[in-house]
Amino acid sequence: MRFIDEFRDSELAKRVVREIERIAEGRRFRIMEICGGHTHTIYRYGLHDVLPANIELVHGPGCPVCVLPMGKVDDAIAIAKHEGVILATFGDMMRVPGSEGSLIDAQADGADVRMVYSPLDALKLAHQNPDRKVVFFAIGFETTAPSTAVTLLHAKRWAFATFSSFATMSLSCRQLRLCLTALKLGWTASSVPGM
Amino acid sequence: MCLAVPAKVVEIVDEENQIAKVEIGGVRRNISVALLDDVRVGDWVLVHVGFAIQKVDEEEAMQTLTLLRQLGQDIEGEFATTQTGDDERGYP
Repeated sequence: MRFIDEFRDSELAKRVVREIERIAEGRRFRIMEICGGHTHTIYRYGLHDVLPANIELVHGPGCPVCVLPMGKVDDAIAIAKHEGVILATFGDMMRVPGSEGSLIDAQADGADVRMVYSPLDALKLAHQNPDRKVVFFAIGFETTAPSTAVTLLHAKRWAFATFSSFATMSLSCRQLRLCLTALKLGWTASSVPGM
Repeated sequence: MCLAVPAKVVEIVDEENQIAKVEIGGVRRNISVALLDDVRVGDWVLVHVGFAIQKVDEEEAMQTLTLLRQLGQDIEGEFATTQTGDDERGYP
C-alpha cells in the first residue's frame, strides 16, 4: 500500500539501523515512547531487537485505555445496565476490567454494549434506534478527543436528543512535561503520539 | 483505537456535513473530514477512529523517504572510502 510499503523496505531499514548505530556510538540514549501504539509497533516489528544496546527504549505512560481509572469502567457498566440504554465504545475498552468485571462480562449479563470503530458509528446507532438512549463511552488523549467533540456537534445539529457521551478523555501533555522536568527520570528523547 | 492509517480521498459525499469517502487498502468507507480544512478528492489523509486527522503531504513523505535512503547511501559511501582508501582514488 502506498505510504506504507515504501517505509517497510527491509534493506533500507537495515541501512538506517547501521546509521543509527554509527551516530549513537559511544553515547547512551534512553528514549521513551509515550503511546501504547508505539510500544505495540516496537514489539510487533522487533525494533527493540535491532537497536544497539546503548539505545534503551523506556515505556511511557501508555494509552488512554491503560491509564483510565478502574472506577470509570464501573461507571460505564452501571450506565450500560440502565433500561433502554445502548452503550457504545471502542473495541479496546471491551476487555478492560472494572472492579466487578469488564464491559464484555456486562454484555454477557444482558447489557446492550456495542463495539464501534468511530464515535460517528455510535451516532449512527442513535439514528437506527430512536427509542433507545445511546451513550458513547468516550476515551482518548488529545488525538482522539476531537472526534468525539465533532460527533457531539453533529448530534446537536441533527437533533439527536437520545445521544450522549460519557466523557473520560485525558490530557497527556501536562503529565509528559512533569515526567520530563520535575521528576527528572533521565531520558534523552521521547516519541510522541501523532508523530 | 490508537492507530491511524493513510487513505486516499475518492469522493466528497456530503459537503455540508464534511463527509468524504476514502479508500484504505482497497476498502472504501465514509469518514469525517471536519477536523481539516480544504480536503479534496485525490488528497491523502491519516484516518483515526473515522476521522481524517492530518493530510499526508506527498512531497513531505517523499522527502522523508529520500532522507532515509540518503542515510543508507552515506554509510555505503563511507564504507567504500574505507575499503578502497584515498590513495587508490588518486587523491594527492
